Amino acid sequence: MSNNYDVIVVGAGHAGSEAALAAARMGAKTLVLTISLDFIAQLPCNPAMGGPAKSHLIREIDALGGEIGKASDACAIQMRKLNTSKGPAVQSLRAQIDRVLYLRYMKRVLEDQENLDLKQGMVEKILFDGDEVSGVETELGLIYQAPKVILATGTFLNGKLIIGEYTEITGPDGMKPSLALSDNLHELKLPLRRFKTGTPARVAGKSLDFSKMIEQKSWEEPLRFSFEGEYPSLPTRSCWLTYTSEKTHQIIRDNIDRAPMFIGGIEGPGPRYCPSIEDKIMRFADKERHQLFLEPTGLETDEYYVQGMATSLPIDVQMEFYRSIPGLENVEIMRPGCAMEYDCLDPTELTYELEIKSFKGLYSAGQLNGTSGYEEAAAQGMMAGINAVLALRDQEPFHLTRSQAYIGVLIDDLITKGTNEPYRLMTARSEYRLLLRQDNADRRLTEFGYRLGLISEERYQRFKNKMVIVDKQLQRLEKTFLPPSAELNQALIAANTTPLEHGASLTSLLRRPQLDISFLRRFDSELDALPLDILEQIEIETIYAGYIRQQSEQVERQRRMESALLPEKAKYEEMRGISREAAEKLDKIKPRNIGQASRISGVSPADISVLTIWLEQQKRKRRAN
Amino acid sequence: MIKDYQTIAAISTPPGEGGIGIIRISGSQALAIALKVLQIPGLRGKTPKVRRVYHGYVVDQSKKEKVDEVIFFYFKNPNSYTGEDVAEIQTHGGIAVLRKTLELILAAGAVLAEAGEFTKRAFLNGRLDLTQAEAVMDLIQANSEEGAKQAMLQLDGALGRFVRKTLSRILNLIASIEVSLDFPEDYDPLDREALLAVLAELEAELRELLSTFKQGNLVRQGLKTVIVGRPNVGKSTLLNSLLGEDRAIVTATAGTTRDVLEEYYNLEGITLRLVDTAGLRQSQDEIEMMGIARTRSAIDTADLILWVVDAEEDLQDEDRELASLIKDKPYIPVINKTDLRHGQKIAADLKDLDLNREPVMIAAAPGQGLDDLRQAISQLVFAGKALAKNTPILTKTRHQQSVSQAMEQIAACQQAVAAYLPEDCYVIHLKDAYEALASLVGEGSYDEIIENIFAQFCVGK
Repeated sequence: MSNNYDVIVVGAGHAGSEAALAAARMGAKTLVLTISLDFIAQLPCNPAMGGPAKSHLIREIDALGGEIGKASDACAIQMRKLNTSKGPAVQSLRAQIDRVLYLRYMKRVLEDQENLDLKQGMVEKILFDGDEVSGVETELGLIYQAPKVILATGTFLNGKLIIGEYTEITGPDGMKPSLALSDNLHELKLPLRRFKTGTPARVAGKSLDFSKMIEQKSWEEPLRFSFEGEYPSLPTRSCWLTYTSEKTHQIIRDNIDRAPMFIGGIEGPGPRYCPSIEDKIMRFADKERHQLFLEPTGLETDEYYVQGMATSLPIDVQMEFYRSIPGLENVEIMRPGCAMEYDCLDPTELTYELEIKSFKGLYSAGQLNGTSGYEEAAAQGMMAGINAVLALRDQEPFHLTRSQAYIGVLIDDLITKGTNEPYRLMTARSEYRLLLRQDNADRRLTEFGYRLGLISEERYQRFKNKMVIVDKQLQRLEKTFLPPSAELNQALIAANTTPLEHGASLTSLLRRPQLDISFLRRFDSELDALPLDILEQIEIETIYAGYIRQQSEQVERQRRMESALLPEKAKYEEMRGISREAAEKLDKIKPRNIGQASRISGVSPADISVLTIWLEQQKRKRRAN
Repeated sequence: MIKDYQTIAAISTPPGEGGIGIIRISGSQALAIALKVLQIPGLRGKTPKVRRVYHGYVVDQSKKEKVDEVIFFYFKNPNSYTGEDVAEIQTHGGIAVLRKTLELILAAGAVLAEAGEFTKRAFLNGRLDLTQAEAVMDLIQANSEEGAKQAMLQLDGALGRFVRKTLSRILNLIASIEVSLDFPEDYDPLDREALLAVLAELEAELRELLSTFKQGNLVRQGLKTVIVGRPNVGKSTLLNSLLGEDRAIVTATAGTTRDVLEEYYNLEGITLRLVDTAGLRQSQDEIEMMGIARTRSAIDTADLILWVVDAEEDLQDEDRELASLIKDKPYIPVINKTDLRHGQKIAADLKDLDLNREPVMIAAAPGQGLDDLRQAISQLVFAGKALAKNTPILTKTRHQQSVSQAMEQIAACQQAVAAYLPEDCYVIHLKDAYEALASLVGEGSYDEIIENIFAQFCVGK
C-alpha cells in the first residue's frame, strides 16, 4: 500500500476528526495519524456539548456537512434549551454526552469514511520540500507523504499535568505526550507559547447525596443539534446543582500557598472564563458561594464530572474541600482535578485558511491555535480540511465572514487579534448576533456545504424546499388579514392586548409583544400545518425584522470594506502617513483587506483612510503603466 | 468609526461671525438629506435640477420653524468636487444659524465629516490627480494627531469626566447583560425594573447634557462681554491687561480704538468673548461715528458689560447716558486708574446713581485689582445660572452629535425593555450608545466589553 496521500491530519480529536472527514468527503485521499486509536474525539474535559455560541458553532458545522452535530445527537444523554426567554440570537442547546459512546461513534465514522485511512502513530517530524510541506515522519521512522498536512495536536505538545507539587509530562487522560514534534516546531522557528487548562475531579455517583442538590432534567421536548438525522434516543440522565460553602472557601484560602499558580508551578495563562476554583475564590473574594453541577459522564459509568470546580490544588486539599460541599460530604474522588499545560501557536501566524504563513501546505487547527473547547476545535478543523483540499486543487479558498457565521468570527478574531489566553467563543464576540442565530445556520451555510460537496443532493433539496416555504409564508403573513371576529377578539383580550376594529395582517399581530406564533396557528390553518423549525424561523424573522434589517445594513457597509483587498506584499513600514504602531502590526498580520485591517488593535481610522488612498494610488499607478 | 460609504456633512467656511456660511453634504443620500431640512417654494414637489440655484428656507420640522433663508444647489456624481452627489446650502445668518442647520442635517441622517474627508473622497473618486495622494495622506494623519491632541485637552475637563463615567456605566450594563446571555447557567438576567431605572437615569443625564448645547449658544461662542466707557478711560488697557498682551491699539489720544475688537478670554472654564468698543462720545468724525453705532449695537447684543470710568475724573453726562443704556443688562461698574487717584469721589457719584452694584476698583495699566474683577465677573456669570464650574457643557457639534446618538439609543433601549423584547436586543442599543460616546473621547473599543465581562464576573465551567 502506498504511503502517498493528499492530506495528512495529525491528531484525531475534534479538530482532527472534522478536518479529516471534510477532506475525505471532498474526495481527497486522507490519512489521520493519532497517538491512540482508543481515544478518537475524546472529551477529556466536561462531558457536554453546546451552550451559547458553542451550540451555534455545532449547527454551523452541521450545515456545512460536518459530523459534530450528528455525533452529539447520537450520544446525548440529556438535552436542554438555554436562554429561551432571552432572545432568538442567544438561544442555544446544551447536551450531556456519553463520553465512551461518543468516541466509539466518531471512530466508526472515520473508519467507515471512504478515502480515509485511520492509523495509530506518533508524528515526530514534518517533512519539507523547500518551503513546502511534503509529509510527516512517525516515531517508528515511517514516512507518509502529502502536499498538505494539518496539525491538530490539541494539548499533547509538551503536555504537562500539574496537581499541587506533582507534575508529569503526559498527554491528557494518561496518553503519551508529543515531545519530538514540539522540538521539531521549535526547529522550524515557529514561536510556541505555553497555555494552561484545567479540569475538576471526577467523583463516584454512589458517594453523592443527591437529596441535597437541585435536579436538572433533560427536556421532554425533542431537541437536536443536527438539521438532519435522528433526534436523540438514548435514555436520559440528570445533572445536579449545588453550591460551595463558606468552609470550602476557608479550606482553599488556608491552602492557597500550595496552589501551583501561586508557587510558580504554572507558566501559561489560563482561561479567565473557566478559572479554577482557587482562582475564583481569590479573584472574587466577596462572592459568598459558587455554584457547581454534578454532570453524568455516561450511561455505563458512575463517574460524575464536578463542573465549576476545576482545581490543581494538592490531592489532600482537594479531598478536603470537595467534602465541604453540601451533597458531597462523603464524596470519593475517582480522578483528581488537575491543570494541563501545553505548547500552542500564536494564531496571528496563520492565514484565513489556517495555513501557517511561513510554510506552504502546513495547516493548524484547534487547541494548538490557542482556543479552548471542542466546538471551537471542530470548526477550525473543518475549515482547515476544506481549505487544504481547495488549495490542492488550485481552487479559491473558502472563507466565512464575521457576518456569515460564528466560524468567521472565531477565525477572524484569532488571526487578526490573536489571543493571550485560551480563546473561547461567546455570542458577545459577534457584532451581528441577530443574524447569526442557530435556527438559521442552515439558511446561512447549507448552500456552501453543498457546493463544496459536503452536503448530499437529497439534503440540499430538502433544505431548498424548507427555505421556499419560509419565504413564501413570510410574504403570505404580510398579505393575509384576519377579520375582527368575536372569537379572535376574545382571544386577544385574554392575551392582554387590544381587540381589533378592522382586519389586521398576521405579521402585525405576530409583532405584538403579547402574541406568538402558536397564537396565530389557532386562527390560521396554513400555519398550523407547518413543522416547528419552520415556524420558529418565521416567528423570529417577523418579530425582529427591524433589528435584522439594521444589522444587515451594517453588514453591507462592512462588506464593501472587506472587498477592498490589500496586496500580500504591501510594505507598511515604508508607507507614508501610517502611524508606526499601525505599520508594525499591519506588517505582522498582513491583513487581506481593509475590513480586516480596521480590526487590528492599534490601527486607527486615520490609518485606514491612508490605506484606502494608498490602494487607490497603487491602482492608478498600475493603470498608468 | 469608519465613515466610508456614508453621507457626510460639514461647515465648509472658516469659523467667524457674519457673512455667508456654506454647508456641504456629500454621498449617495446628499440630496435626500438636504431636502429633508429644506423648504424650497420654487420646486413645488419636483426634484431639483442639477447645478441650478434655488432659493428657500432651512426648516426645523420638529418645531415648524424657519431657521434661515438660504441658497441651495446640488451636483450629481461624478461631476462634483468629491465625485459623489454633493448638496450645498448657503446660509446668511451667522454662526449660530449655520450650526443649527448642520445639526438638522446630521439629524436627518448625515454624519459629520472628519477633517480631510472631502478631499479624501475627491481623491478616491478620481477628482484629484495622483500627485496629490501623498498630500492627502499627510493631511489625514496630521488632522488625526491634532484631533487626538484636542481630544486630550477636552477630556481633562468636566465633560471628559462625565463621558468617561457614563461610558463605564453603559459598559457595566452591557457586561452584565452579556454575561447572563453567554453564561446563562452562572448568571441570572438583569432585573427589568432595575435596568429601566438605570436607563432612565442615563437618559436624563444625557438629555441634561444636550440641553447645555441647545441653550448654551452663549457659552459655545463665548459670553459676549462688552467693555464700554467714555473715550480714554482705559478700556483697551483693561482688555490688554486681562489678556496679558497688547491686542488693541492703545494711545493717549481719545478715540483711537475705531473698530470693535474681539478677543477670547477663558475665565474658569467659561469663554468670555471680550469686545472692546470705541468710546461713546458725540463725534463728527465719520469713521468714529460708525464705531459708536457699533458700540450701541454691541451693548444691545451683549451678555455681559464691563463699564469703565476714570478715577481721575468726575462722572460726566456721557457716563450717565451710558448708565441708562446698560441698566437692564448684566454689567459691572469698573473704576480704573486707581493707582493715580483713589477714586472715592467717583465711587460716591456712582452710588448717587443708585445703581445697586458694587464697583470694582482697578488700575489696568499696572494690572492691579484684576483678580477682584475676575471674581466679580465669575460671580455675575455663574450665580443664578446652572453653569456651575464642574458642570459638563457641550460646545462642539461633533460632541453634540455623539451625545444625541447615545441618548437616542438609550431611549430606544428603554422602549425595547418596555416592549418586552428579549435581552439581546437591548445590547444592540447599548452598544450603539457606547460606541457613539466612545467616539467622543476617542477611546473605548468593542474588545473592552469582552474584557469587562471577565474582569467583573466570575464565569466558570
